[in-house]
Amino acid sequence: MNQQTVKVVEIEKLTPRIKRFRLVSANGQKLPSFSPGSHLAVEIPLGQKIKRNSYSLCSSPYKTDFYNLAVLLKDNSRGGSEYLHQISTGTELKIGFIKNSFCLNSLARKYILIAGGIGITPFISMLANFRRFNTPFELHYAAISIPECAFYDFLQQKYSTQVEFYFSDRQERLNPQQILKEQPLGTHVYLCAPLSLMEECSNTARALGYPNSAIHRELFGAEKTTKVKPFTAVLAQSEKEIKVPRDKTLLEALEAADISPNYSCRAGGCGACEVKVIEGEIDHLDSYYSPEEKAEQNKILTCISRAKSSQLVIDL
Amino acid sequence: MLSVPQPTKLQFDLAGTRHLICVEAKEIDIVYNRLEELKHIPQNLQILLLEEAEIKSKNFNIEQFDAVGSLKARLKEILDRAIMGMRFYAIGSEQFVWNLRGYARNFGLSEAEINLEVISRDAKNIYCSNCQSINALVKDNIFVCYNCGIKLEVMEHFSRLKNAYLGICADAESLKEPLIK
Repeated sequence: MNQQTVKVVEIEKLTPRIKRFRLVSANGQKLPSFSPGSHLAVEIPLGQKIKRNSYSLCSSPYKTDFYNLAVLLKDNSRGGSEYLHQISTGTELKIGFIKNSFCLNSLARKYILIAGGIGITPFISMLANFRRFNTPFELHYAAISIPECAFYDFLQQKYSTQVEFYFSDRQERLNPQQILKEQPLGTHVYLCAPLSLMEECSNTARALGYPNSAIHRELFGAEKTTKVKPFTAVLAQSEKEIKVPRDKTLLEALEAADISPNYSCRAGGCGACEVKVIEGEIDHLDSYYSPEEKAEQNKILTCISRAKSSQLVIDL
Repeated sequence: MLSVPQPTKLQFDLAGTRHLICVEAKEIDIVYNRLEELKHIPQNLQILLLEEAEIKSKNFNIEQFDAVGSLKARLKEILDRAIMGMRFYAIGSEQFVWNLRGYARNFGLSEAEINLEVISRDAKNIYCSNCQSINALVKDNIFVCYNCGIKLEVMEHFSRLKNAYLGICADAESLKEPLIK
């Protein structure tokens, strides 16, 4: 991971389960600028191990003397969000360089943003861009309740006419058909929500005739599976065997073995960690490949997908 | 060269919910042929026809126009009110197809929502690299710019933005004063 060190200078509790962290450069140098929708990986020390979690930058791209991240304390946390929820101001963190797999399409005439829960985070940096260029947009944001709705006050104060909230404790439901129908030519849809809501919105958009190039998805969590089993990755080029235990991804196992493969989102959404598969049956858990590509069984996203067979021979 | 548009056969994108076809009259049979190749004729199909042609089927919504200008005025009316789901098609000479393709892009249609079929490319629009004017429907590879009088050589380089091929000075070594109008 290309690293830089940042210091936490401010921590704000946005909801009972979401904290916002303000990060500044630890050595006083300016932080790199970023484009709306960007994310970065934070290195999390867990005893002897190091874990890397990706988080969207949720501050203005036009203010790069600090970054904001918002982190949800997950019920099934494997230590990453739990660690960040325990740190205090002054803590130094190592972060990777900024990446963006959720860029704004510059030719779009209008943007429809659909957020579910913590999926609001990549949209915060986009809003600053829309305001600056007076771009038409709508933000549809589904959350459990007002107390569980991160950035509620900020959005109400600054964007109240363009934001629609849907709170499940009030039985309010986001209706993709209602939102996406009769939108003008040049509309692009951006989705960052739980998988089921993203699927519903994507399918509705396609049924209404939106081309695939106008539907953008950001993943913020791995697809849950109960069938996780350990397997062995055989590295054809370096002739190594790497054990991938139940609680580690293939990418994490490769990193633990001092192999540094490429990666970006770490959630099976961007394709950066793709590796060729020479032999073995792949258990595709990503949302990047099409069903046809998955059926070809010749490449894997190491950050999320696993093996159905006991062994997977990969081209590394 | 990659910049020169490669010949394509019109493909109907049935993921669209409304289909708008602009076609030159002499090529209307190609539209019928392409539609016949489909299992089902798409719903909400509208044809804007440049110049008169025999209308073989009353099942289609066809409007006829005597000039590109009036066709584009109707196109503007339609695209101004159009919603996501629209697919745009143009069939005819290279000059006609790329002119309308550029016009449709102004209304927010993306490459993914546009499909073209060029039937002929014998006459080209040429962009003069000296005076920046566009010479319409040139058939020769070397010719004199109508605007500045410089001798131009036509390059195999096509600008989608300008709907024109690049014309560069053909005899730069013995250049006479151009006739700037």
